[in-house]
Amino acid sequence: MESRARLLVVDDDPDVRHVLKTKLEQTGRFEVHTAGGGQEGLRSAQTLQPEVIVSDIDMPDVDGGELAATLRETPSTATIPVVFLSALVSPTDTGQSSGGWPMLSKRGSLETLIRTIERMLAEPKRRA
Amino acid sequence: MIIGLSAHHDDAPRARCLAAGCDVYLTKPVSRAVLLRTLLDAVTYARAAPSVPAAPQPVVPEADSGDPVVIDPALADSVGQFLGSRRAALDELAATLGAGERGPLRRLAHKLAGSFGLYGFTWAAAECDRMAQQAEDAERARLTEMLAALRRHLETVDVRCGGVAVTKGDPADGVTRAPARRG
Repeated sequence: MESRARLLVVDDDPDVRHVLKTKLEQTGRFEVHTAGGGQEGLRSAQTLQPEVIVSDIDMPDVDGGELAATLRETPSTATIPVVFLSALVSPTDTGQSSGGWPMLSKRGSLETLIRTIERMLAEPKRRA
Repeated sequence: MIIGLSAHHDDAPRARCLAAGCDVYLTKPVSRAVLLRTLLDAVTYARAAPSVPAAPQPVVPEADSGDPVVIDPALADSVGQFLGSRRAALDELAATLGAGERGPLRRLAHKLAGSFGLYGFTWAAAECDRMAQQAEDAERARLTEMLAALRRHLETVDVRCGGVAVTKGDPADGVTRAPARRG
């Protein structure tokens, strides 16, 4: 059996972090770490080297867009894929961020999130 | 598959573009890498999941039906704490509305909608979404009414998991107990 994929969930709402960690770990496919904001997310990304980062967009310190851009500019994190999960995205949207990462709605289904994470895991890494 | 291209970076044109039927929205300037990746995604998606339409969003009535909220059993222990923190978030929403800060009100309402949705509180999520949509233009009385309906919902909601009533927990001690009768 394959080992579980290491994920980092970044969200400033502790309840959102809790529900995502619980539900994603329940699948048995992921090991979920969390960070409470963009700053902490950047630090955790460097130390944990997650395989995928699931990040909120609207956060008070460093927002999701800045987080993704900074990850990309940092050699040790440049190839880590990001999935944005935001309440600002409507459930019927299947958009992408200007950086090309998927943008999902917090109101959408968990299955969509899981499917997207697994697609990112299966893809060859982007070149930095 | 339609990929929309625009120089607008903000949310509104993106939302309109997606609403009009684009599958993906990219903002210019688009790097070769992003464009190729998007096309690759599109092809992969098309192969992996032929003609899977987005799940239709159920219409959630404006009035709270009082139907039980069914949550994931794994969240049963934390729902009391969640309801407590959402009450605090509604207080913050009320203060923001009181100060007439409509932009921040919209953002707060969106955030609340997201957290309610993830937990399985469908009506509260839809009501917060409606509040976010109306935050900039609606009469203050209308928004106050919505806020009151949300507070009432949190006071009276029947939370269940696996057919068992979880009811509400006091955020201070985490003990679950039946909701107090009001009125």
